[in-house]
Amino acid sequence: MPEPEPKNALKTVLSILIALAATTGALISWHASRVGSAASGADGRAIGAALDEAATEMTIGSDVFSFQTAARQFQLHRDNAKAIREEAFRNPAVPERWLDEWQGESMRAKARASQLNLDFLKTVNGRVTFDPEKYHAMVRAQAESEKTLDPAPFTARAEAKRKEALFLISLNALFTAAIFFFTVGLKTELRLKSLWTTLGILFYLAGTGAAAWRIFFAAAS
Amino acid sequence: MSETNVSKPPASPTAPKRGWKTWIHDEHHFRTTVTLLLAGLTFVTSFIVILNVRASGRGAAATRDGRLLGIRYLTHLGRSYWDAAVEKDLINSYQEVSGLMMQAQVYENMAGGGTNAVFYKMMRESLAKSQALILGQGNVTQAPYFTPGYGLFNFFQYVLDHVSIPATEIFEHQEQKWAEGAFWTSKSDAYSAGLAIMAVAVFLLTLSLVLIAHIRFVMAGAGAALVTAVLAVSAYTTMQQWHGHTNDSIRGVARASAGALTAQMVINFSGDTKLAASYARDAGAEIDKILAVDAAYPAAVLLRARIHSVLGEAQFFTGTGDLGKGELEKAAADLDRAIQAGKTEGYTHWSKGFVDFLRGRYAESVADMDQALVLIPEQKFAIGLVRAASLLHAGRAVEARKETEEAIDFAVRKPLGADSMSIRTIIKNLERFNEVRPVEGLPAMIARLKDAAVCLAVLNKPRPAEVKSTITTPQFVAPVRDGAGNIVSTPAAEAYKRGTGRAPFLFELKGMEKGQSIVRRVYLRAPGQVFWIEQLWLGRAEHWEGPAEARLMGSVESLIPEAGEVLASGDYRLEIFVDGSLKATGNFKVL
Repeated sequence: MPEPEPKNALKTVLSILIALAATTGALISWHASRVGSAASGADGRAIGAALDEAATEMTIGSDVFSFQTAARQFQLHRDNAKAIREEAFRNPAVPERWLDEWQGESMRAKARASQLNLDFLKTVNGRVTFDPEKYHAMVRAQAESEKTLDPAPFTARAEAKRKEALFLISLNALFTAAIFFFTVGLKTELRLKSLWTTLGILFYLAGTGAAAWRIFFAAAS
Repeated sequence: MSETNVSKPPASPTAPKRGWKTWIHDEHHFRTTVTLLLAGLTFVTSFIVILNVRASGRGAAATRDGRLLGIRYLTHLGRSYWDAAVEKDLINSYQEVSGLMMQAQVYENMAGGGTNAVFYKMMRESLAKSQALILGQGNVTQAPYFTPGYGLFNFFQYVLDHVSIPATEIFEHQEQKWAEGAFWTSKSDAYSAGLAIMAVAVFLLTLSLVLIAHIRFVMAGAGAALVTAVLAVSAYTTMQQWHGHTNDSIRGVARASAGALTAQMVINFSGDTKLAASYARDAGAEIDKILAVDAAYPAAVLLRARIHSVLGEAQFFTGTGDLGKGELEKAAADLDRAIQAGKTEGYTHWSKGFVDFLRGRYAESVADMDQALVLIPEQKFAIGLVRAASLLHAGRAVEARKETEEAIDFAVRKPLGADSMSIRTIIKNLERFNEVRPVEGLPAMIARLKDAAVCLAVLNKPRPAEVKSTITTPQFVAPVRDGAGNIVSTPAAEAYKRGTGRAPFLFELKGMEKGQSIVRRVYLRAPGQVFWIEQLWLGRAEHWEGPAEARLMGSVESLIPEAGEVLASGDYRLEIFVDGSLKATGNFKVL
């Protein structure tokens, strides 16, 4: 079998390099599209977290309203009942209607007591009030133990993934530059072929190295 | 074909000096040029792809952020309304406790000592402790929402500060994110189109490599032309930058929006034009500051239009400032600007139609309302009635009557049309409009609307049935009583002294049937005010259970006159409807 002419051998090498650069670029683009899909997935998770947060916050809002109003009414009627009772003890000759008033206030206080959330009461100047901040913190923490309520980590992940995808897609500029130099090498005089070929190889290696670093090292870290 | 034969023809020593046309006709040169062009094209295309990925990523992120802000908006409204309910309950509790304390004080004084006095004193002290506890909770019990000396709460301001303004701010941020998303998506679309065209160019250039004769130049030329066009468009697209609004501008728009809303509510519900104008001017100053640095902020332009519109409306109805001409022209200019900038929502056309109506440009008003109806047909009732009033003033009375009836018929079918707040505002405005710029047919239209308002509210029908009953004009009286409290005479009274709790009136009914509805509506024109404002808490709706003929004494009074509530000073008008048909009107005054 005759040896190929040096010129034709170089052409073959350059053609192979062009095909290699194009294939590498395509593979990295494919990987970039997968990274882009991960970004979209993170966007979806962020929306889901925001919806969970909305549901939690609205539930807390209605709960706080009912517990707080119950505590306020309870304290009002209890104060009144207590005051009547104390005065009645001091003064045994009180009219009978005091007893009616005391019973009325006590019953109203009892009715409200059944609506209290006893785990979240606090005492201010000796009087019972509902503690909305503590209730909010607890219910939110409870919800957070079951699902993520904060969309921020997901949006941050989406941004990181988008940056990675853009970086990888940007490497195509290096591969297409390499293809361009190989093509120039293919179509120019012999004395310049090595220059274009070297440039093409350098660009190709830079692109491949950067992609490997981003995919295998930077992403892992 | 060997390279020697085709691409490197032997140079002729006698060949003349050749130009580029001759050079490119050379097969070798042509193929080399096209091949290098293709390789270069690949390189350039990769940049367009990068720009496309970047634009599409930013578009997706902005759209996602817009959705997140939408959810945050709902979360905020849900939470802040519950918080406002807690604050409102605090106010109610405070007022209830204050009332009981006053009552205990009065009873304590009346008891004059003894165990009863001790009891009321003790209750009062216990309530005082509860009141102190209430004042230690919430935001509405603190400055600037609470005035301790008077025990007054400004709950409306609380709602504006804690519900409306933050909600508007989030909404504006969301609008901005939608706009940003659309901007980047359109850039991405432009790049994508460029890439598609680039693929065609690549095909044409590749085709030129396998063709012969002149056709290959045509193909290569067409490919090169497409490449040039794509590069030019891509470069232009890349140069387009996103300009969002600053957080300060957004916050300012939210605050001004609350001011404009307050001004509109004041003029609609209380009719106090001076107070409305004061709120509008404050909001206008805020908007002017924003537009000075961000002249193209569409929401700010629309808000300025709204503010000018309220100011113009206030001047028009009070008959000042050349009937609001200057302000209304500014409002119209801003609305036109918004419409030209693509703000073609139905509400913008509706606002423009109303402004044109006040300006006396009835044909333009009708055209604006037509446009608004196309975009928001569900507002046929309110828009249709302004359109009808414009038609009436334009001398198209038959069309105006038809439009009025159509709008009322629509209201039966659509809850939005039967919104009593909207009906009251329209009647209030048209009544005053008839005084400022009267036109034949307008009083009849107003009377028809009043009938319709009662029919819609009480009978759920568009128009009253034929009513044979008659009611005499109510005669307001000042009954004189004897020592036992019996009325001994009823001299007529046109005016009652200040602090009057009820205004009694006599009237006769004839031809009444059992079950007929009798609706009373009371309007007040407060001193210095121009509008007749319906006083909801003075109105009544009942069904007749008496005989066919009767002479009765009724009274205009608050819901709980025993609680010491009095009638405010001003001119009053009483209207009595039987089965939705206005049968009698009477007037009185409280000094």
